[in-house]
Amino acid sequence: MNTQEAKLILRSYRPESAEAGDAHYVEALGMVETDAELRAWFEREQEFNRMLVAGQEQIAVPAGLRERLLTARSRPVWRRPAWWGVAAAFVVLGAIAAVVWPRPQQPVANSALAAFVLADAQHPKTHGGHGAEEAAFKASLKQTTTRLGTQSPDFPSLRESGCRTLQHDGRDVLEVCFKRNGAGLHFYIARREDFPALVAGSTPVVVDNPAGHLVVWADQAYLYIVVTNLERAQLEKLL
Amino acid sequence: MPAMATDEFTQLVDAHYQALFRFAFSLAKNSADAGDLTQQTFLIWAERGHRLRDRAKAKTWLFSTLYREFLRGRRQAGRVTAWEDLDPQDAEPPAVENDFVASLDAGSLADALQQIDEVYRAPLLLFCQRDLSYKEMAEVLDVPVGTVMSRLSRGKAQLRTVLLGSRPGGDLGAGPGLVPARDFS
Repeated sequence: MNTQEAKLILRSYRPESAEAGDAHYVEALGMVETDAELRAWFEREQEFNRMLVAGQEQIAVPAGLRERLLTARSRPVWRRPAWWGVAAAFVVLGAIAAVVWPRPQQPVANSALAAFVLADAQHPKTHGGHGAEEAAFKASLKQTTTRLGTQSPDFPSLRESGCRTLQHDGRDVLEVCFKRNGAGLHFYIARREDFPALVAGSTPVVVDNPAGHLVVWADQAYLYIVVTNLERAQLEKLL
Repeated sequence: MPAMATDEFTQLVDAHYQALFRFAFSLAKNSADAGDLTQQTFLIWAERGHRLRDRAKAKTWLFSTLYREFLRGRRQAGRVTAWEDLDPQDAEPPAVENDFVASLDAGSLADALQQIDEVYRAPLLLFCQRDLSYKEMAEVLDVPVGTVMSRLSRGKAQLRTVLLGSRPGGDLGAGPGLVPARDFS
């Protein structure tokens, strides 16, 4: 071991530490005993270390820190800042889930909307609309060649021009009455966006009900429900 | 909270909070952040400390946790020192008169420590914890013992250089291997 190697080792020497008796320290310390220049350097180094430690120990610890640490430990976890991030993450996840989570869906035929239009269809004398749009749509529905499931009525124009408009759960439902084969039919139209939980296929489906048959289907924008007392076999021919 | 656990926690706080705060203060440079780091360290202990089977290692565990929390905060603030980019400083460090060092107050010494590269500062601060062995310091810093030794040596050299520059009549702009000023704001 030369002087430079001894200095390198002795820079980390702490006389009060458990490692002070390690072999490499013992060897380097042995050189200190025999090398006056190294001894002078070592004494300066040790003094520097003591001052460094003393300097650190002079850093004032804030009054009240101990109590703050003991109090913080007894705080409920939800009041600790680290948990606020967790809580915030849950809020964000909840918001995302609310948007993307599939909502429960209900067939139109079993819905409150179906019950509503069935009840409405029991009182045809109160029905009645007007306007050119409604008249044209009604005329089309009356045609013996018209298939009900192929209709694409213009909802906004019908409503604006005077078509009978009901309110169910605060949403508009249009109704047009017409006759086929001597029986009355009630054609109801609702916007899908107003009833997002309701589902129906694109093919008209007949559902028997004590108050009358329901025919239910939907396209991209609208839900359609036809209510009638027409015999089922005849009704199916209109679809 | 069980009484025994509370007693143990209180004893642990009493035994180590001052040393942890001083370590944190020298790392973070201000009292508020140092207090927060110390508190966060003990909160982590309150939640996870029971997993430490060898209670004799509690001090090392606390210092390791505090240092990790400090580094985590630095990473989040985008202020991580690129350790590999630091220039080696193996040359004989300049001598500084011990009388001058003795005349420095704690604030001046803390300021000087702040000018040392972070990678060298942490071992230097742990070096002041006399009851932490080099093996334990290595555990705290998560580096080999040899790396602790070399970083300690370089840290002392940098500290001497800084002190030399701050001495009345000292020239901060001169001298080889002078520590560049760092933006810790």
